[in-house]
Amino acid sequence: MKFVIDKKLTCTFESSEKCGNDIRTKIKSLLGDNIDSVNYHTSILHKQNNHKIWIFLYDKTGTHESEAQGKNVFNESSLVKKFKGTMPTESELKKALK
Amino acid sequence: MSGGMTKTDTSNLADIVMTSKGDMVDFDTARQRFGIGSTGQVLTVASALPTWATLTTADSVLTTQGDVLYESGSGLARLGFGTTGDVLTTKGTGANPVWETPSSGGLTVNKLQGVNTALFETTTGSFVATGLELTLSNESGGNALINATFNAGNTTNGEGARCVLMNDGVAITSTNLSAEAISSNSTNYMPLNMATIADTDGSVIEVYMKGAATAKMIYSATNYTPQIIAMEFY
Repeated sequence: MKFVIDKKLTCTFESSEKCGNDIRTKIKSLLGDNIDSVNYHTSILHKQNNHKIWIFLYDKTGTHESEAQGKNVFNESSLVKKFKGTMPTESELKKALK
Repeated sequence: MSGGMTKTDTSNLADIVMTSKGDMVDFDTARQRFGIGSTGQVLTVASALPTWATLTTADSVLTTQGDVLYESGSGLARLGFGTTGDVLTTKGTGANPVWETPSSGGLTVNKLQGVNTALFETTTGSFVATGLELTLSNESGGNALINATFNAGNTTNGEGARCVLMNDGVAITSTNLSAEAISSNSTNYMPLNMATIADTDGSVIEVYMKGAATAKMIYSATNYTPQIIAMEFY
């Protein structure tokens, strides 16, 4: 399951690490026992005043999901495990990222 | 009168048949007059008798400086001088050569550049698109030399990131091992990926990246901007 959320954030090269950590912490707090990079992964483009956040919650063990040129891409991956529990909605994710 | 010819015995004299200046005598069933030919003609044989013939010579075909002589299938022919810069082109068996304007020729090179000035990071252990990409535009086939420069690594734990060049989502690593690179640290490493690939119009060349369980980054450093360059040549 893919979610793409735009946020009007601004960070510098020096502060980008904290920026990314803050975003991931907020997402993790919503996703409970799920482990980043195992049950889901995030990608962040730190574009000034227009950050783009991809959140991929894995639907199936062994199937990795990502995006390329705007299209969903699915690949086999032994690292991937199915997302545990009920997947959040987009509005819940947006609320968590406020 | 000495000799075998007498005034009264004229039946065998050549002058009985020759009437004009330049005449000669030949023999068919009897001696006969062989009249003088035209200027430039040569003596040849046809139907077992001598005859005057006009030969086609280069000098009679060519008229102008720069003319070229060729065989047309029915005789010699003239190809008038062409236009400056034209090249002589054969049209193959059964055809005459012609002058033609040469095609532009040579090697055409087209440079493309893709830039990503925003920091990108991901937490996945599988290759994902980074947004550092360009679209090949070559409409004539040929090849493209791809080069990508960027920083990659993990500022959190100093680990490297693994990066690969993709062509429409397919790794081109298998055809050129240097197309994949692993950064050595978090802050000062610039993978240099080069690959030569068959160029297809509209193909998207993009840097993909993956890490371990922590965030990996491609980021803008002070010294250079992440970029991908393609030199298309055909």
